[in-house]
Amino acid sequence: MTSKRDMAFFTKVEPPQHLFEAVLAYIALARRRAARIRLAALGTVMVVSVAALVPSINYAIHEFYASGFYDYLSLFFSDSSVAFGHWQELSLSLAESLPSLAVLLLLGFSIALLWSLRRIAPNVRMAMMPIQSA
Amino acid sequence: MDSDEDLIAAYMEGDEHAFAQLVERHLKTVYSFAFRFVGSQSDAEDIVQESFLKVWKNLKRYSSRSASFKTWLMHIVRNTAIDHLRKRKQIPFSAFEDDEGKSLFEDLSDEAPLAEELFAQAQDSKEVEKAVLKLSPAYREVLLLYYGSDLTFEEVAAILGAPTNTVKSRHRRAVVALRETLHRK
Repeated sequence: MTSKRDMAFFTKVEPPQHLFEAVLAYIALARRRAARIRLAALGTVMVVSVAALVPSINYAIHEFYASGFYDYLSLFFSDSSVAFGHWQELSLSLAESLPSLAVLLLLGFSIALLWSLRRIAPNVRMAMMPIQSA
Repeated sequence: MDSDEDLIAAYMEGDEHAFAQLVERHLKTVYSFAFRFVGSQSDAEDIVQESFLKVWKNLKRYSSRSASFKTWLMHIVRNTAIDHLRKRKQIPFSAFEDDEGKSLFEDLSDEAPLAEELFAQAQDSKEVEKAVLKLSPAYREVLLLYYGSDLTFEEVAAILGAPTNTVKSRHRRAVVALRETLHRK
């Protein structure tokens, strides 16, 4: 009995010579396009986070003073014996006076900036990659 | 020689060349299926490029536990080819309807034909090629996957998302239809 692999019609067709390179170039093109889109998004994140970081630092500094957090913290340096003697109460006061919104904003923008900086480099490389046309 | 899974793992670890090897290994099978499914070289090339792009985009989601790479790849190729035909409005289409729209399959006997015998009888491969292109895509894909891509009925069933028995019966009907077309010439 003839094997199904032996049948003339179903033997495989030889692909055109340029097809292999064309497939790789097509993928490289899509990859470059995706990298450029990512780059634009990351660039936006970076610019926004840098722009937001300055006011959020100022806001955090203001809030640290206004909430009394700085005063409680300075006790550790100015009068450490009292501070360590009542460390439990002082820790509670520090936690209560911590300007959480300001800290969250500062951390959020810092993380966004670091994350975008870390991811920008490989995308720049990919976005600038030359494509060999088949 | 590295298995497909080894090449995928190597690519995931940053070896760019591994993906090219994967393309090179399966290019002929994919192109043959696409070419015989759509019957045009330029359309087949588009399908091949689009399919490998989808493979590259979804490679992270591929799991060798659910299917072999070849089965997964041919599933993508088959769907891409169908989408391509849909865009060109070549689906739905049946070459087996008479003027009143009645399916000619209704009159076909359902005896299990010997496909090997049928292909051996066909005078040349061009004759079969033309006849296969006249089949409905549902029949064409079964023949091309089973005979042209060295897949088992189980693998074809996985690609089509149909039970193995359905695929076997569709294969039998496809061969009957092909025989009818070849005899009508």
